[in-house]
Amino acid sequence: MDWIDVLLVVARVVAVFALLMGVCTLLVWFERKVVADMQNRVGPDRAGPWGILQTVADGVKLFFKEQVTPRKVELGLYLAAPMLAAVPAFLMFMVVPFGRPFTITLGGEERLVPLQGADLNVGLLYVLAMSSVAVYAVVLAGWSSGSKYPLLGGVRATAQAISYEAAMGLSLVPVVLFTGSMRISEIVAAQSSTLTFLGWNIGFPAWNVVVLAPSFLIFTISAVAETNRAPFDLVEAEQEIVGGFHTEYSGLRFALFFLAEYINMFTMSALAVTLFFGGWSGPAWDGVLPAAVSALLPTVWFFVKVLVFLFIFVWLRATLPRLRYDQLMTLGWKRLIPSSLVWLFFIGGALAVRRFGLPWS
Amino acid sequence: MSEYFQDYVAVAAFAAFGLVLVVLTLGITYLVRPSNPTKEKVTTYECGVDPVGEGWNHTFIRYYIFGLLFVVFDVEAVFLFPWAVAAESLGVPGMIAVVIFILTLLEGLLYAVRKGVLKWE
Amino acid sequence: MDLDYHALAPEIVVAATILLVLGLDVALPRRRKYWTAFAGVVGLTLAAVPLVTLALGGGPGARSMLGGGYVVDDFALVLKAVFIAGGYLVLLMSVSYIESDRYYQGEYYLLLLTSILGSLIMASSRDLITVFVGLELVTGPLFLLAGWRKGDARSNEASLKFFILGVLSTAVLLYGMSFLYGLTGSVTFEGIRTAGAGLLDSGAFRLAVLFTLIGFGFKITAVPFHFWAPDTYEGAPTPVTAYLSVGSKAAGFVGLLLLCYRAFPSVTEIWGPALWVLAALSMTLGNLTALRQDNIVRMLAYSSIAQGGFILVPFAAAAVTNDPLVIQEAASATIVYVIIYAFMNLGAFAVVIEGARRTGTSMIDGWAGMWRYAPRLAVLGAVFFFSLAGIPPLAGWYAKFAMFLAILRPGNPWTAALAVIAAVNAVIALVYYARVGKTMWMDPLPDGASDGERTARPMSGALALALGISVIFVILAGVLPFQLAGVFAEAAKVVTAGI
Repeated sequence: MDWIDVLLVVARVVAVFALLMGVCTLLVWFERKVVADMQNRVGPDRAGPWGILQTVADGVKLFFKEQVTPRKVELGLYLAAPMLAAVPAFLMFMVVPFGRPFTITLGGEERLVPLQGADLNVGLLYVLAMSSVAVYAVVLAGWSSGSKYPLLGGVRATAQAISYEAAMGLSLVPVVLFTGSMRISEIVAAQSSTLTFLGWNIGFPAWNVVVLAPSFLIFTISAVAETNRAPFDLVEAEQEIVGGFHTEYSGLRFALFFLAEYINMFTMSALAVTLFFGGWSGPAWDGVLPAAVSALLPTVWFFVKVLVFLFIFVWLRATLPRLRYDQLMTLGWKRLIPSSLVWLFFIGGALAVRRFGLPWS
Repeated sequence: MSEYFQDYVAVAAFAAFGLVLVVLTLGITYLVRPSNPTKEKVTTYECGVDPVGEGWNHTFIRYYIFGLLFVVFDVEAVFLFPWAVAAESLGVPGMIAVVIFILTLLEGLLYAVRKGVLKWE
Repeated sequence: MDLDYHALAPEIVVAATILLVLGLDVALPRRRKYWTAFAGVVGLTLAAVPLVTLALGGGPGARSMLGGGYVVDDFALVLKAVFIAGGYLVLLMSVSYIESDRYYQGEYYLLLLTSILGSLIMASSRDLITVFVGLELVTGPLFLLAGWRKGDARSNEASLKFFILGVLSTAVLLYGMSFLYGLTGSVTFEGIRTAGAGLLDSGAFRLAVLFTLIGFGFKITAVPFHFWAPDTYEGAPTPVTAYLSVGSKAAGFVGLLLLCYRAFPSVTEIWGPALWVLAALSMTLGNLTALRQDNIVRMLAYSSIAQGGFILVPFAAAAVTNDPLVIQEAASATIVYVIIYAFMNLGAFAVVIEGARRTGTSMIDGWAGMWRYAPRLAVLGAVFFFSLAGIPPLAGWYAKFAMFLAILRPGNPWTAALAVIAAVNAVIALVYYARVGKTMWMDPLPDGASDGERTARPMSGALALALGISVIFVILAGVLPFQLAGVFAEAAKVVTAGI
């Protein structure tokens, strides 16, 4: 590992950061615009063309706002909570590959540059771990505010996040079972071929969703709940508990929670695409198109797929009413967890029969 | 340094970068934002009226019970991941062991349901 | 990884029974819950079958698994038999007691069986990790069981005290174990023995040994680590108390035996004096406090602390000698004592359960004149209490005889002193055990009690079976002690092998 490698790591880190910030800015605008369209409104249209700079304007405003610190807060935890929300959100996206690795020649050596923060061998576990850490931010924010609404929002968030995290973890086991690896790049690679059905190559990409549709469904529901998005936004249900855990936060501290929420939404969409829809894999037409275009096409495919998911996220928010808390818990514990266990049972059995043969033969 | 650690160095770099960025932005706002805490401004928010009692109230015991259940099922998921990776090499005995494991947990969940632990009332 | 399923069969059967009991508890309506007790009893009976086949057809070699960490040899088999038998008796005792409370029957048997499973694992464990897993599996369910009578403040207190001190002792134990692993680089007892021989001068190693012993000191309720015991014993439901004083205690002694004889034979100058002091203190304090108790459960609690002291005595003998025969005899004395103590103490508790049900009190005075309305129970009570005191021809005498033989064998002044202490204590113990007998047989009925109302309620069949089994064992073992000892000597040989 020489200095160029170090430089490449730094470049990757900066690139992922820039990507996240840019995507997040656009995402907020995208959501407002789509929701506005669905509700027959215009939405933001003043800042920049089609109001695309609205988020930037909001950010700048929040940057210069006073950050009120109520007297009753536990200061240390109160200040740490927004950071704890933002940093794991950044970290979670690290392991998601958003394009095909390419090689460049630097310092007289060919070097492989993966378009991914880091390709960990326990990538999937890392994702689950980071999404657990994100819970701390909400809990600590709610508790340290020393106020009733944030406390309620905080405990609600904890119970919700942990309930759906268990379901999410279980829904991902079949993916690992199917691929035989927790490394995200290998999960993508396993989906890049085409499906064979009864000996015929039917030309459809071998996405995990084809076989693991129930897992995908459970994952998507859990992902929406994990990011505290409607219809699972009981954490910050304005009509009931004001702003929930971030009631006592203002200025940039509030903005960090906001940022984290949108980054998480993007990461969850990216994960759904990566784990179930082949990630960046897609036709690149190598040799037909110029090399630069071929190298870029997978990234385009990736973002197109993610965009579909983000649209679904927004669509859900514009359409569905909020769940009641007991419904939320029933869905998590009595529907999702048992069905993911039963599904795991089934898929495990099916794979065992395919691999080891029937027990009596 | 091995390939293995190289990846985690990237993670550490990423975490450090993110932390520095966040702290830096908060630091800059400290310089440019106004700060004018009046007595009313720093009271705890309670829909505009003066706050009643302490902010730290008792909360519903169910939250705690769900927390306990979560530990069981999340740890279970963590046990299942290594098996899923090595399922091929562990073969039929591994498969049987996991089936028993999952059935045991399902029985536990069924027990919780039957005892009304998962009822939110 | 090859598992020997024949060797593991008892554990597998018990585990399957646990799952079955849980399933039954979920499936059955409340008034049919007694089936869970039935399933538990049948399951434990079935678990004893592979023990017999292993003992008869297993061949001489020990079956070793998990890299030597889990071994099924003669020692393990003998102790597993004791644990299963003890658990069986406790289950039988619990049936009518728990049913009369009318709640949480299924969970009760589930937790009790889990604890028994833990003690089975203890008997086979040959490394620190399995010992720890087994020990926690034994004690974990007991924290809950001790607080079973939720409406009773004493029961809650019992559970909480037990829990807090139990966790503390676990922490101390783990601390010692982590030191042991760190210093020797091995978790197996053999590895610790080999590596420990080179660490004699290391202060950290001595500290680690001491911490481990203290951790087990809590589990076997040796003075001065006994504080939780009397309150917990008194507050817990009586069958749970019976199990606490026998099952979990025996599991603790098994751990201590394994550690002292297999892992730490090189550092006898540490654990020898330490256990000498523990034994002397436990016997003396336990007996003196038991003298002053009016509540029979509390008296049995202190008496079990004192009996724990007697069980510790042979360790002190093994520590001062290098003669393998003497050491083997000491180990054998401990095992014999643990086994006989298990049966006679369980029998005594069965008498206490039935006596408390008949008289409605567990105060000793309330039992006056019991022979008039419950002659058979009074006879059984006398048998178990005199056996605990060590009167021939009941089993207790041989337990004490073997213990004295072991402690006198080395001929060292220190061990002789301990023998004197033990002898004095045996006399003190006789006083309070005899007092119960005297109250039952000689004192007049308490005021306001009539014969009629106390005879009206017949004993449950399960409890009668439990009493029958223990009384038969106590008398048989007392009459034919040397045949019994022959079996246990094999077990002792295994424990002390390689010293």
